[in-house]
Amino acid sequence: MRPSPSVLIVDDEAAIVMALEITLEASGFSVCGTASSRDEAVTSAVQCRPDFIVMDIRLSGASDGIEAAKEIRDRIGLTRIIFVTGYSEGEVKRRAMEQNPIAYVVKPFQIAELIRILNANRN
Amino acid sequence: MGYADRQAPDHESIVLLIDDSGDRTRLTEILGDAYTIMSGPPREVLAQQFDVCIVDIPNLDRYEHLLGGRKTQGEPVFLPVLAMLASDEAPLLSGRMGRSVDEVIMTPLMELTVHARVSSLIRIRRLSLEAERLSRATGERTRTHLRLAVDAANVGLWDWNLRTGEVFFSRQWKEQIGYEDTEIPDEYGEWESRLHPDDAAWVVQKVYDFARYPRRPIQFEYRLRHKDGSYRWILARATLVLDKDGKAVRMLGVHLDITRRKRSEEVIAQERNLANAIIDSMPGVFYVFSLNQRFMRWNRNFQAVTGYSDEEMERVSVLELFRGSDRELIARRVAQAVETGQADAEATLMTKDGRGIAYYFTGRRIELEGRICIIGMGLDITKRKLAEEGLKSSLRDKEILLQELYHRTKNNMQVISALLELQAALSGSEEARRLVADSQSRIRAMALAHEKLYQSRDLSRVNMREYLIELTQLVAAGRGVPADEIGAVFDIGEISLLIDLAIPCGLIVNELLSDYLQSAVSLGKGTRIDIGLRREGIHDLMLTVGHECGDTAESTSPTAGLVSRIVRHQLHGSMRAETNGRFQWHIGFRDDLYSERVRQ
Repeated sequence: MRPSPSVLIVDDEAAIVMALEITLEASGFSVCGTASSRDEAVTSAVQCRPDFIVMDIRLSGASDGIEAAKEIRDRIGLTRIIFVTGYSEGEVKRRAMEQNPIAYVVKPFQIAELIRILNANRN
Repeated sequence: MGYADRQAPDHESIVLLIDDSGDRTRLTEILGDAYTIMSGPPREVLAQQFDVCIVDIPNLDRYEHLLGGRKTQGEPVFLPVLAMLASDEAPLLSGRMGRSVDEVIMTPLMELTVHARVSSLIRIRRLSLEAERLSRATGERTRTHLRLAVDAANVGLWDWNLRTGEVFFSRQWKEQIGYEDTEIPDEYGEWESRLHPDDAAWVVQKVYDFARYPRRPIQFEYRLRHKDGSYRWILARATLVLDKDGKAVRMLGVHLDITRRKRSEEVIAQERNLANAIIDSMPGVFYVFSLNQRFMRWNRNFQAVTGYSDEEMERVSVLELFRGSDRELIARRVAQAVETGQADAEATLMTKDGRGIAYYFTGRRIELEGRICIIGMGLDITKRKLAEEGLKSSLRDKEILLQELYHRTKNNMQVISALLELQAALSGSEEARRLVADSQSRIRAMALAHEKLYQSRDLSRVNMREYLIELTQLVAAGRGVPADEIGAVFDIGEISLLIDLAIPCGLIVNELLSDYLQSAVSLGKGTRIDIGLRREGIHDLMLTVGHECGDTAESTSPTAGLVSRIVRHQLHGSMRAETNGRFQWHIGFRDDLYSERVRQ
């Protein structure tokens, strides 16, 4: 039996993290960690080496999710990243797309939609 | 035929005969036909007019002084004297030829010789007379022309004999200061007493210095008092007559009344002073520069701003006052002003001490002193620039604030959606999951309207075409229908609605499509929908949502109740359903229910 794909959830909203964690676990994914800041995200990613990172862009602290994604890529290599954000366009989206995410999902979204994206990108 | 017969008679010429010998008769016979012969007592006839005198030696001895007097009196006209003598009398002419005697004729008289001598002498006299006449005529004409010229030019003449002190003032000299020729005596004091008090000292000194140290003619302008008490401006030019030792003996000169010219100059000077006062009182910098980039005129403020002195302003070039891209900009705008007549520019003016000041410059092409120049002024726009920067900064802040507001709104909607989804997941109920999905779809419909509003940049209206197409795709995706399998046909005009109307429209479409898609997906059927929004009057709009007929009675479903409520309560519109092979909702409403929230 193939192991469940691991997912790191990075968002500063606890309710969103909780809803994602429960729903993803119920849908066959393994949530290997959660984080609300860049530093936490990098530390968790280095520790659990996730298959996917669901990354909010606006995080607590001075740095954002795009910088976190870049550092994680630099530290552990290619990781499949899905940005989830309220920013639908502009400079933020341009910077985010430079990190070659597998998706850029604009809030509010249905978790089922996120699960479809994750499933579509499973090996 | 005698000699006289061979030449034309000349009775206008008078031949005077002073001869007591018998030759007088002979001469009369020879010359009488050709000339008028005059004879008589010598003292009387020598006082008459004659053209040639024939005299024998004894009479020459006797009346030589009278003849000499007549010759001298008529000078420079030639009055010929012909001496008649015997060959042995020739020594008696010694010392007389060329003085009292001009020609000789020998006795015995020969007709041909007499005629030849007399004719030659008369021709010489005529030439002499003609030369004198011409000379007199020319001199008179020249003097006349000179007098006319002097009168016409109103040139006053004066002449001062430095030895005797005698002075002459011409009629025009006196008329220039309002006097008749006889009203002012020709005295030096008449001139000096009329000098303007401000001019008297230096003018007198100048004239005396000139007389004492002769040099080339001098010229100066001063004022003389007129008869009416006013002062007239005079241009005086003086020259000296020197004796053989180089000492001045006379001073001659001319006077020209230049009062009118002076008045014009004063008016021009006043105009210039006024212009300078205006230019110097300008709040900005004023300049005129030539195409070689040199300043020709500038105001005091220009110097105060840049810190350059007059001499430095004359040397500094226009482009030296700018740096970098501003220098290139100014060069381009100057070329534009030359070509099109005018141009303007905003650039940083560099001062002498290296400070930069933001200025707005204007430039117009003019012709000055025969050259193409640029005239213009510059205004300090530092405050305006600061205000603009402040405004831009404020706008940036508002932009960021607005972006954050939208981000927060959508994040909060995501939290609500996630909480609902969490609740449904925890309940384990399929019905709960379906209800949550409906709510999430409504939340997304509202969030999308806000997103479109933010993207519209006018922060007031939503482009309904973009909104309804994306909403359809979102609703379909929420029901598991991929975008390329929706089978949607859109008939939506270029209509932008206020957010107050866009959200109800979005909710209506969400509700009607969700119901249909849910049913179609559960039955495993393909979908075909059509969505339209058309303007049917200035403010009347018609929204249509259609799809294939389903198995349930759409018009009585719970969703239809919610839609009906939105139409009546929020849109104050009407709705009806049509079934004609397909099921189609028609929702009519007006777009003037709300006023703009944000003024453009």
